[in-house]
Amino acid sequence: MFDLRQLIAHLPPTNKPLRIAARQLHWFRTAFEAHAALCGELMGYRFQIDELKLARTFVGWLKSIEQQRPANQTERREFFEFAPSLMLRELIAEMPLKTTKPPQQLVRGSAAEFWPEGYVATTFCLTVYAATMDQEFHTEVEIDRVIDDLRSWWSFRENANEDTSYAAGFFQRVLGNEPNWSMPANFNARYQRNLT
Amino acid sequence: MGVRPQFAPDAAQLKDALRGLRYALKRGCDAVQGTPTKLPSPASKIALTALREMGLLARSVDQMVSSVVHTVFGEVTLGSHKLQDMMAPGGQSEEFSAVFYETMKIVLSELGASRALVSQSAGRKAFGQVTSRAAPEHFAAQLALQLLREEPIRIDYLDAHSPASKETLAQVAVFSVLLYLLSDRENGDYAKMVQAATNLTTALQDEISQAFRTQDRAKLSTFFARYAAHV
Repeated sequence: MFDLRQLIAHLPPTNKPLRIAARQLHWFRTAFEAHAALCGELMGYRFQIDELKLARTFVGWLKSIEQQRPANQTERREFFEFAPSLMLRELIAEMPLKTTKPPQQLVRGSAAEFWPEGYVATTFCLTVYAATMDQEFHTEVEIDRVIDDLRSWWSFRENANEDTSYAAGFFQRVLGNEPNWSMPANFNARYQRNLT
Repeated sequence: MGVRPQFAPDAAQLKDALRGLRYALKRGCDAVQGTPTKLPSPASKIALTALREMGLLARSVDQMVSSVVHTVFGEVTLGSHKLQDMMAPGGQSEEFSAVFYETMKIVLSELGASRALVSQSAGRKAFGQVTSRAAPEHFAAQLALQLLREEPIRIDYLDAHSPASKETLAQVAVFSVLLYLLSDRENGDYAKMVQAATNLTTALQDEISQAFRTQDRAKLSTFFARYAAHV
């Protein structure tokens, strides 16, 4: 599995809370570029970023948040945990990344080798989410083993190709939650769970 | 001894005139580029020499204009200028026009139109015509529509990879500049924030163009209010 702490350490600095910075395009873009560059180094790839697609991803994510944000304050934390899965859905839909160099040091049969762009997008959402959760709630995010399961990645890629909402469900699975697979990108349709 | 105010030259208009001269020279050079090689031998030699001289003249004028604009009139650098502060009663149209020009140059470069001519006096005129001093987003919406009426940008060449079309470029550019000026800027990387404002506007360009086409001030105001915090 990747080193989440290392990825978090490479996020660009900001004098704003991360939950605010992540919703500002200049920070979001800098963070995504830094993350893609670091992953590229670790994976032996070089990634090219389409700025316009990244901006569309960002705008799509803002719109989804605005549409789905619950009025009820008691649901704030649950929505906070749900929002990054919407970010992954937008990233997979627009896919602003393109590999430009073949892998050299990848573990054969790894998720990163199987789908480098999808892997970078997913780990980016996890990184920002984990850093924000730590800052806001002092909570350490636990990643499910599904992140290393190639069959899950195969299913993720195959299904997201048909319906990008599947990406949101995959992200929730990675965080150890059971998504509502019929509407994985709908906050109101999620399975209720008791938060401790 | 200083120049008496009533006889002082109008800085914005003078700058526009100098920049216009530079623009016309560059355009002239571009227009005749390649022509000499199509001419028969003695004529092509003379034409090539003339073209070289023209190129040198254009470069000299370019340097002279940049130097005059920056040293004589003072330089405006990107910074913490905010529309919210400039729209205060009394209106700081001079300051706005200078910031508008500098920001617009970066925006146009992002949009693949770095060679476009920007009129600073059009920016000043538009700013002076906006009477509303309501909420910043309402002011920005009214100013955006007024700026487009004043046609502050002349575009002859647009990069093939530009994310905007020639028809919508002025709308995207004007909205980007004002979105940047409304945004919350605490750090010092202002050029990055101008790029972000331009990218954000480009991603929203269909909706923004529609609002400009229908002169929908309320919609433009909503867009400014919604996205200024997300630059």
